[in-house]
Amino acid sequence: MKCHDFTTSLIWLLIGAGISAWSVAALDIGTLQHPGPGFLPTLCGVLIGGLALVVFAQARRRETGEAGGVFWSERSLPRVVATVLALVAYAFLLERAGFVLTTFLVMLVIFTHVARASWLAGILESSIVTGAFYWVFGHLLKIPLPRGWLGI
Amino acid sequence: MWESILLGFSVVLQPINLLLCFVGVLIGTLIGVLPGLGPGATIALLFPVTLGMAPTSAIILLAGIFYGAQYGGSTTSILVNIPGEAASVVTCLDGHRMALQGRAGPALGIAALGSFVAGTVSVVGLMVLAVPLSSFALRFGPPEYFGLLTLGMTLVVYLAQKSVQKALISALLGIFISQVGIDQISSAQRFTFGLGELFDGISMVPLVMGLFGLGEVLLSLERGISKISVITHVKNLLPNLQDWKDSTWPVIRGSVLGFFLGVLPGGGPTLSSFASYGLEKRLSKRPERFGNGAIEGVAGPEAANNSATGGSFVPLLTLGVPTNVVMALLFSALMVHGVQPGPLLIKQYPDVFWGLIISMYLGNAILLVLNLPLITIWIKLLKIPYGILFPLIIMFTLIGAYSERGLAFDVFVMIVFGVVGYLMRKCEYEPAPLVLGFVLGDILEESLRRSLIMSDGSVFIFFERPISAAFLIFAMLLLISNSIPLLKERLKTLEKVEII
Repeated sequence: MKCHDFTTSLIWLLIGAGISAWSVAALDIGTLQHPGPGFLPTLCGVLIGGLALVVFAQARRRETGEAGGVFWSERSLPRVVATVLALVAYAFLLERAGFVLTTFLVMLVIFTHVARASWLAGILESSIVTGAFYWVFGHLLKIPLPRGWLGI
Repeated sequence: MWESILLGFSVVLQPINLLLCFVGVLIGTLIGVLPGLGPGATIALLFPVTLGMAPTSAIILLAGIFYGAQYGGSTTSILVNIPGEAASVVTCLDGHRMALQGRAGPALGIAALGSFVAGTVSVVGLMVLAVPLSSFALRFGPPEYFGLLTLGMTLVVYLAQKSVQKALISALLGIFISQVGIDQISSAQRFTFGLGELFDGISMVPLVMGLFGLGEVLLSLERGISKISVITHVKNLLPNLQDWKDSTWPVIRGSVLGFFLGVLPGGGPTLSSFASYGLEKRLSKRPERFGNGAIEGVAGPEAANNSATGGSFVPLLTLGVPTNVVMALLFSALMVHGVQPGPLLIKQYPDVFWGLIISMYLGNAILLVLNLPLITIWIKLLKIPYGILFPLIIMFTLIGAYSERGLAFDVFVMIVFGVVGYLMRKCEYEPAPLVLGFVLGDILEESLRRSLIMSDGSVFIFFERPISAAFLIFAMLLLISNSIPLLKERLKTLEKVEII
């Protein structure tokens, strides 16, 4: 029980409070005789908040709350962020540009910028991955994949 | 019973089912061998592919992946010292040590043979236990289900590797996420932001793919892509006479222990393998050999994790309660095909039940034949650099998330849960309780609300009925027993403060 427990427990406290407040404001909690749709979500929010306080208290007692070291190192973070951004772009482009073009472009970014392959190797690897996935899922398993601008 | 077994054989021996059983265990072994893609994510990925199949065929394929992965996982543990999947963590301790001593062959051999024996024991256990348990479960009403589900969740939380409080938060978040969508009792919209894609709730496949597939990849990327060294010299796969002598009882004990720990809600292959290792070490006359290449340390846990796969099916098929992530996915797969897992499954769908059981038996035999001769291929697979492997895993998660409903929205959902899974792991919050909370959330809510309506708001209904009372008291005892060390620590601190 050490890794950034102070900060994370406060975040959980906010999440718990948010869930409860949202449930109470937007849904009918009902009564014990007739519990409404907001009953369990409110309970979940309250319990999450309560447990967050326990985690906070434990971290405080052991005085090791922030002993987990640097949460994000400058060396590792860019790779994680680049991957997540590439995937968000994938989700955004998939139905517009189609499976083949989107997959090729996003795989190219991942191979060259995250896996640090050369451009030539990246183009080759992305082409193989795109072709293989298209063939297996689109052709063999007949999963309808979005076609997009290129029509494939 | 014999008629039912014959029915099972007639189902499995249909060419398509036999083929799917083979494909399932092959894929299972493959993903078991490859670190980074576990059976949960793979089943989630292949889930859409099974939509066009008959329910029996679908469940035979998906179950094959589950128990196939237990076989494959040991190969990576022994040869690379990296667990292919969670249930093989403990095999690294002695399995890899044996490989370093030039005894990779017997380690792989006993893992495969022990797994086969255990697989057989668990199938027999499933056959014997499932029918009476499903008759017993017919007595269950909403309060009993609420008690059972609470116990299941408590066990998962109790067995958490890091912190019980954190596991509880994770499970509660899962329950909350399961509430998104239209409420089944009142038809009110909950937390949908008016988005049509959320009316049916959040889909399980993108959630599992994100938490377990993408979350793991992001964490590996952060820790750095390192080269792994594989032991490639494998000879004499068959254990010698002394190995057999040392391993026979561990395999038998592991099989029985694994099965019963698999049956427990919250139990499963991972817990079973750890429990078996602990038991063998305690029973051994020379416990100092453990960690230094003791074959019992491979035989027992490998038998236990395989046996637990069969045990896990018991609560799913008889009570309709999935006890781990893989069972949760199989629960959804059956539901999608219109088969309701629960006490009536054996009567209403005997072909699904007996077909599955016999397929597991045949699958175990196929695995034995498949695993040992194909060892050289698995070794080659292990040499694939992570720089090539992780983009492939990412592609599997993307296509898996998209293909279930054909919506780019689900790809966004998968990415969100990928980031959530990554952050949770970083802060030592386990994602498995979240998935279990998510899966059981709907049934838990329905049983809670219906119980309260039945009792006109009295919470004593859960303690007036013996079965639900027993479940809840057991759950409370578990939580109390977990709090005792914390309370003791608190008291000690207070005493110190008073002395000062």
